[in-house]
Amino acid sequence: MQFIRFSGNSPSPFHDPSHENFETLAKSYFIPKIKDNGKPSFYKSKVTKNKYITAGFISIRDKEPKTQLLIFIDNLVFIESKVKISFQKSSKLYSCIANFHFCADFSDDKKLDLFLYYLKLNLQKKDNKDYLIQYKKQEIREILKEVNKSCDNNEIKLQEWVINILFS
Amino acid sequence: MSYFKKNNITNSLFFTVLEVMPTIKTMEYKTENNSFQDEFISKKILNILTENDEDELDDDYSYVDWIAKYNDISLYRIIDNPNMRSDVRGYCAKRLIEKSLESERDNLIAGLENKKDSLITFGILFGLEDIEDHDRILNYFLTHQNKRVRNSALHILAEKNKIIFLPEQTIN
Repeated sequence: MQFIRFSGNSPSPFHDPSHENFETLAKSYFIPKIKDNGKPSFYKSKVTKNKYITAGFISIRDKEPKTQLLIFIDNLVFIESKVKISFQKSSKLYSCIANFHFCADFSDDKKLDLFLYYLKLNLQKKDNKDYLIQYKKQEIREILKEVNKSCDNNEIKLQEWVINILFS
Repeated sequence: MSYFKKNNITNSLFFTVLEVMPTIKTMEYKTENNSFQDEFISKKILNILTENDEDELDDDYSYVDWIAKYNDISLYRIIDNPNMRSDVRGYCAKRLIEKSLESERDNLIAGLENKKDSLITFGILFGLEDIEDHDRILNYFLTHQNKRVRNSALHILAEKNKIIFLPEQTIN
């Protein structure tokens, strides 16, 4: 089982987990925001659903992202670092992907450090293509259009920028 | 005494840059209040990379776009500063590559590679990807010592159909 963590632009520390400062650098990408209450979001990965999850995540954003980075993290990393990750209801998400929304408990800073240590070890064993995807603006637009054709998005009010993309 | 000697800066990317634009760069470099501005730009870039403050993202992109267009000397300075974050330095490298002229690109890449930081190298690679400089990306695939850089170069080329990629293929 894997979880997806969405991130912004590149290059990011995840491009080289063997970097001497990987843990220090990567920490900034997991520190919970104020609205996270110490528990940032992750999405359970499922190969057949990942485009829906990505489209769903992007379409609840206030503005159109220029790029979207996906980092796939093995559940083993959470287990080894004893970081609790649990299902979290979210009224903002479409029902077709709501079951994939999880939150990790990083309220204890030491747990985050341990998580980064095991994440480094885990990613070092893999090629970048096995845990990293980056979508550019045009690809993001295509995913939104593709998913919109097969998924009823009417249940949640779409952002204006999403509507502009879908119907332009 | 030159600025570089006075400040004990050796092996600087600026030596490469100064070969291209000697006068303007030196003047700007001397007159700015560097550290405060560099920290400020670095913070903006970090938010672009992490998206930790979504409300500020548009403003941060606009600001860094402006810096890259009109005051790129700040980007060189951040890259030259080993105390700055590697991902931020890599992003600066990416922006410099994107705006570089074909004629100056080899010198620029050589100066950036001198920093010996893999995230700067990835910045170069993604900059080359954005401007579709496939010849230099191919060069990274063929010659770079870092396997992850070679693999990423291969995938960029494969996605652009510039090279035939076999899924089973691994690079040792």
